[in-house]
Amino acid sequence: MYVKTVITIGFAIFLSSCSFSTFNLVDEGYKPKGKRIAVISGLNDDSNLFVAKMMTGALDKVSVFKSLSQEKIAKAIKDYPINIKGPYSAAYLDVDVDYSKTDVNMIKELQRKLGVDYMYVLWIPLATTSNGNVKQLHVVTQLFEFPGGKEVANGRFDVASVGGVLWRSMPTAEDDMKAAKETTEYVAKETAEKMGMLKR
Amino acid sequence: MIKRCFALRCTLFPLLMSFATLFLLAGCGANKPFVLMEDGYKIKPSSIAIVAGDNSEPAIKLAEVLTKEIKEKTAFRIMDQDDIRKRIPKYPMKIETTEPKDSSRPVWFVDSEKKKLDSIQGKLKVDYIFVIWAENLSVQSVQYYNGGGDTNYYMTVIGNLIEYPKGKTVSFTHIDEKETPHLYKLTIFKSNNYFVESMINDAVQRITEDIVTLITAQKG
Repeated sequence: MYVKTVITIGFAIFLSSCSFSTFNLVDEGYKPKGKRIAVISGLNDDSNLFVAKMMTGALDKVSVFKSLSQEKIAKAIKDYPINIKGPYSAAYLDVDVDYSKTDVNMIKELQRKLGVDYMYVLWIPLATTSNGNVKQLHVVTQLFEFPGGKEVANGRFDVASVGGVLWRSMPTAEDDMKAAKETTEYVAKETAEKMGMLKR
Repeated sequence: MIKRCFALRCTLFPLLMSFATLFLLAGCGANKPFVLMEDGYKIKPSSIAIVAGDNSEPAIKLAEVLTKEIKEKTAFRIMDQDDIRKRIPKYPMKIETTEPKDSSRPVWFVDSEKKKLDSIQGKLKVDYIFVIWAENLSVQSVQYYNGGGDTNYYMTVIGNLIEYPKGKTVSFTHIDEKETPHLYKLTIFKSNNYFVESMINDAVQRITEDIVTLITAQKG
């Protein structure tokens, strides 16, 4: 159990320190202009919605943002979650990130139904397994400020759940849940800290 | 979501497994781009929509490229992917696949998913739905003890054509794709995504060629 935890956190730290940032402000020194936030699942599938839900909970836990629950979002947006064109040009075995590809107009349209100050949209265009026991969800995110719909931050992280280390068995649902909880809390803390919205 | 498997390390066991897989794929790779369920079935060049079987990137790309090819090379009235999205906000959505009951005439989707396909057709009002999936996308790297190595990319493309209003499955698609970086083709430094796109394009070419050949033969 201890080994798994170390590996899971290790992945998050590795990804944040070496290859890409979990939360990167477009303009350094940005000052937040509101507290109401909606975490939006950018794709219509279970893993996207699951991580969106976990991120909502994590932001509630570590930040002073007032996040809209996924249930409220689903009530306000017919057919939620829907597929929103995301910030990548390809995502077959690697995610080729291109933040200009996002369908910002659709995000603006959704925001009109939610009335929040921020839309934190996350996409998981790719899930991989490696070595028979590590499952990774490759997450790309963008944060948009309203009114206006300007992109104020973006980021990338992986939710890596680890199964049996000795016998290389696939992660269980419990392992997935634990990995998502640990990773989203880590990312939410980074997000809140850089936005100056960390709960004291 | 489709599981993609990376086998990357080189202990003896993975090495042997990789060779076994390579031999298996080399010997048994399916190449059935577009096969009719019943001989003599006449395809009407009427309206058609290519539907991605899930919202994975390879399936979406397959649907996009196949739509473009069918539009260019056949007389079908094909619905654009954007039009499908406008009519069905949740598109693409997952259509569950299963091990076919009859492997010689495979219907890839789970029986209960037929309702979902019928509902899609009800919104698109087309004569044919071609549902397509990309499965088993993987990259396998083998390192030899002399320091050399090989990398191979694999993907299986499966699909079914369904005729409406009968709701009858009239064809199947089953292609095992493989790509290998080559020094002489100057592809050894290309990205993983390059090889996946190459497999997608190849599968689409094969499907389109078979459809065109079939329609031409039926006319003659």
